[in-house]
Amino acid sequence: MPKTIHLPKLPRVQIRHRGRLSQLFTYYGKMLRMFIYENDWKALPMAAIIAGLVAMVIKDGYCVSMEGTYQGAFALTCVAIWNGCFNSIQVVCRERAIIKREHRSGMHISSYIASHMLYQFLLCLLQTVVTMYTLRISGVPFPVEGFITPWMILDLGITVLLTSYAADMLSLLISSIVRTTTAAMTVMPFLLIFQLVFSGGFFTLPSSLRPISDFTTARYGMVAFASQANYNSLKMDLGWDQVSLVRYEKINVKLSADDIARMTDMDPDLLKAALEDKPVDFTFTINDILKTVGEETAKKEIQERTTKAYVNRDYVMTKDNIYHCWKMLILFAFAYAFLAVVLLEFIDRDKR
Amino acid sequence: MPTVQQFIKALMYLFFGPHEVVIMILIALEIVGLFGLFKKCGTKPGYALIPFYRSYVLARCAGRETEGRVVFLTDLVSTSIAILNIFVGAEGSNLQLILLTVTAAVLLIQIIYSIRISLGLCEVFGRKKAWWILWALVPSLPALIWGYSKKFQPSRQVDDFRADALNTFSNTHISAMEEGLTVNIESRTVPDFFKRKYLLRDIHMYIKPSSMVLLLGGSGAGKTTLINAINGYERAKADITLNGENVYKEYKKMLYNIGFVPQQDLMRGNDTVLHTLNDAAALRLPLDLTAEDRRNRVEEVMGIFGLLPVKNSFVSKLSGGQRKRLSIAMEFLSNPQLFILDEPDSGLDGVMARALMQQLREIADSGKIVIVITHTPDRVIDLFDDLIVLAKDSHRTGRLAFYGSISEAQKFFGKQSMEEIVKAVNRKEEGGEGLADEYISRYAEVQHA
Repeated sequence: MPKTIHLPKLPRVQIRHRGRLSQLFTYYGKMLRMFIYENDWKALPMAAIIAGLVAMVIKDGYCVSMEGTYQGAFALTCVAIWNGCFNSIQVVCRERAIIKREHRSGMHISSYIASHMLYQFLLCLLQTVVTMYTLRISGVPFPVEGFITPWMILDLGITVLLTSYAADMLSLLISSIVRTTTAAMTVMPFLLIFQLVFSGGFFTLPSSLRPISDFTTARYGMVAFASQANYNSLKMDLGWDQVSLVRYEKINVKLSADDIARMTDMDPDLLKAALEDKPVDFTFTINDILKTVGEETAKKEIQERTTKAYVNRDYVMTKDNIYHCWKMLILFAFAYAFLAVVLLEFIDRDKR
Repeated sequence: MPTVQQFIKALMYLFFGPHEVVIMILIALEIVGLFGLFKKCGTKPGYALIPFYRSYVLARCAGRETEGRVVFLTDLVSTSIAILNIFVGAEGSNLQLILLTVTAAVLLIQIIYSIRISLGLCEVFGRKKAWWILWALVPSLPALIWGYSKKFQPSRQVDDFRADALNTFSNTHISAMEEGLTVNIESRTVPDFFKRKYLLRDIHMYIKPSSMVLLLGGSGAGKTTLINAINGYERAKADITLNGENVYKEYKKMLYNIGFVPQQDLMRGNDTVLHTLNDAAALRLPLDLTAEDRRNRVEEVMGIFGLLPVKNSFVSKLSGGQRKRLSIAMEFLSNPQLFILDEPDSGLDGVMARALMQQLREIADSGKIVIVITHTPDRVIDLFDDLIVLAKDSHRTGRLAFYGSISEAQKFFGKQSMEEIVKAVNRKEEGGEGLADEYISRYAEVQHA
């Protein structure tokens, strides 16, 4: 170590320091370095693995049938939320003491969070590219022509990006509230369960709880994914599949003369006389009925009726509907980030 | 509109909870018992009549104040929910389900913490722990027995939290100087549930430039509170001036003129030394400096602190001493006039600690003020000019027990080593001599004179 120190006199009159915008880029640069050094890059292969696993499940149904699209929309929402949540759930709490030190050295919390917003957007964007590419090469049958943009893959990509970004910002908010990474990882499952259960997508909520779903990002992701796949115009196979499952099961019924007369327009008195007013045992299968009425006719009838029954007004494929979902996701993302700034401003009050 | 009946029911809830007449009588008996118990413990018996608050006071009697706060709050929450239920509760509704779930969770917490309080009472009264069962099931019975039986006496009294701190004050105010650091702290308090807690009181001193000052005191004496009050981070009722400028009034400006190095090395491990310093320079240096000036300053500071050979190494790969020097270098970038270091030698061996302190001495010699907190002062005491001794008075408030040169301190305390001085002012239960009040009073008189 040197023995003598020659300290230059810095000009003391100049007291202007870096503003918010300038600090934003300082921290953004730091985060980009962390992408390489702190293993954030691992989020990309992880996104590919998750997308590949989901693709195996949804590739036969998404954009093909109503139930397949419904499951696919839910699965894609889960993928996006999972990716987003894991990107930022620990980023603030793991360096809380450092933030506190830097805050007392003049760091603006708004710049810090804004740099995270920028960095996390980039991360979500890269994850979205990886996810969509994986889904495409895994054979998920997206229509080629888009509804909002010229390409459907881009339309869906925007929804994946916005859903994961909104979830990312929610996790950033949680990370700004909790003090330790352990607490963050404890809160995380509750967050995911709340998002997915109360989205009103996969689980039917009682009417009194339905308004809660308006406050979940998962709902808007799910609605956008289902609308973009034109859910309401697809056929519903579920009803016919259920019939097929039980078509050879034997059904035993006792029919009275009146029952038979009602079904066949025969004279009830004659029937009563012929059957001596005793009920008759009938054994048949659904296959017998299908043969009688014609299988194709029955299938068509069942599919049409179940399709009509499962039409969901929330999933209507209109530009307004999709824009509304996107707008809400952006609004959520900014609202969460704003709350994170407000809460982190109190970091100086952390106990030593 | 709420009916009169609902209001009466709500009032009954407030005082007795959701109970029948027999239970109400038992609660009334408990209040009578607590009346006697509070009296025995040296606190106001009348507190037994105040709903919610009596649980908190009982916890104070048991020496379990933290648990008392929890029970107070949970009691308040569960009663509020019960009252809310009277006004809005529709049976079987989702709202009622949510309220019931919250109440169940809150009651569970309340039970656990009440048991902790009962165990505390058993300790204070020197009774078997099995008494907690009775306290949990029929509190009125043990409250009456413990409150009025002469066989049941507490081993200690509750501190009267409304009492003032040790009332010997220096009545001093040091005039702000054009150069150096002037500290006039009247008090530093924090709200603490039902009271205002004094963390620091009556601290007055003037530190001249080029001084290296040792800040001594046992744990909890208020050393960190004092330095945070001095640098304006946690404001006190005080007047702090550095080189003629008021630290609190000119806080934004002074932010860069005061360097505070925390005890822990708070830096990102996966960043290089150069990047860490560059980013710190971007935050701390004036905007008008050119990028080249900034780079030069970073290079210069790395040279001063011997970090040039490791400038491209990750922070996580540095040795303890290098990390500490980097942490100091980050603050040194802005060339602050006041440098405060909280245990900079923790985790360093004797040789490294001395080398670091020598470097701080050189910084002080360049015209700056360096204040250092350390728990191993004797190995480097020759490097310091002055000594501040903080001590907890009998009311656990941080007070100034001494400020002056090292030789004066040795004379004042009649001790040779710094460790002996700390031992003298530490409380007996901390292994000290418990002479803090004596030294505080003596020093206040010296200052006043």
